[in-house]
Amino acid sequence: MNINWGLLAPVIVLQFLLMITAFISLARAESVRGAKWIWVFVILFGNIVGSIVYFIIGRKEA
Amino acid sequence: MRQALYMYRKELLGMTRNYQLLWIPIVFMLLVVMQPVTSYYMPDILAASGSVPAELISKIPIPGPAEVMGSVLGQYSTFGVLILVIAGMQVVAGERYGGTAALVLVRPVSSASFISAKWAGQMTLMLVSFIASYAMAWYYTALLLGPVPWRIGFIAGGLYILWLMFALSLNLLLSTLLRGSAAAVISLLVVAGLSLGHSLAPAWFAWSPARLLMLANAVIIGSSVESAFASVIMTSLLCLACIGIAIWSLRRQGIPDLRGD
Repeated sequence: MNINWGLLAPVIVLQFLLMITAFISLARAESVRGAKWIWVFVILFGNIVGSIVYFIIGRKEA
Repeated sequence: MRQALYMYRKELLGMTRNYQLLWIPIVFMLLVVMQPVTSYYMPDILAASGSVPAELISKIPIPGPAEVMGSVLGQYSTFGVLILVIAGMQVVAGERYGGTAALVLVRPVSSASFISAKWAGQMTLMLVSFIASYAMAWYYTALLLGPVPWRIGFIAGGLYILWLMFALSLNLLLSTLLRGSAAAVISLLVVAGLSLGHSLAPAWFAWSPARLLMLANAVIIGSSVESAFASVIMTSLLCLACIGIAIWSLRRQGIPDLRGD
């Protein structure tokens, strides 16, 4: 199977950006729902969905 | 007017601070770009799974650009609406119950500029997410599967923008009337109900904004479409009505009692 990496690179970059954003947000949040270390795993291993779940239910509205 | 502009700038600042202006467009892009990519690689993916015989794989047709753009649009009406509505459910309720609205509205800020700034903020977020992701899906589809005619793509995209606009206006109204998650649940139910109703009984729901979805899908696969004019006017009026009622009810109810919350 030959994969055109030039084609997939933007997708990978976007995923990475999303994850970084979630981590920055997590690091700067004063408090989140549940423990912070759980969210680290959710974002790290949850792929796109993990970050979405963090942004939607993990963050407390300021 | 200046007041509304100032509030709008504050709104954008808030969305930057809570990362919405970054993560929602990224999620949208990832969501839709997967459509052309997986359609293109589908035979390879099936082959890698190992359980599908090779002669069957060679018979699987790779969908045409119009079909893929159609499924891209489908993503907006399911996951797109879901994410935007949930992210925006606190838009007014959050400030009313959090006490910020009390601080803002005791000063001479009219509820009209408060609501219109909120609405403009939500629209900006939606438009940025939609345009960025639609352009990306379009580019990938054209690259992998073949060109999509400009006129068709623009019309279908425009109709979808109007539909999302309706969903967000409704969400804004409900967020003014109710607390956060109730607003989201009811908006999603109404939006889903309308599009389900329209697909089950098109004649009864001919007036509804959900017709826009059907029109957009017909446009993109290139079948002939009767005039979309009535639906466009109807949806715009409904959006205006949502904003109007939101302004009126915010003025009327003022600030909720914060004791016990």
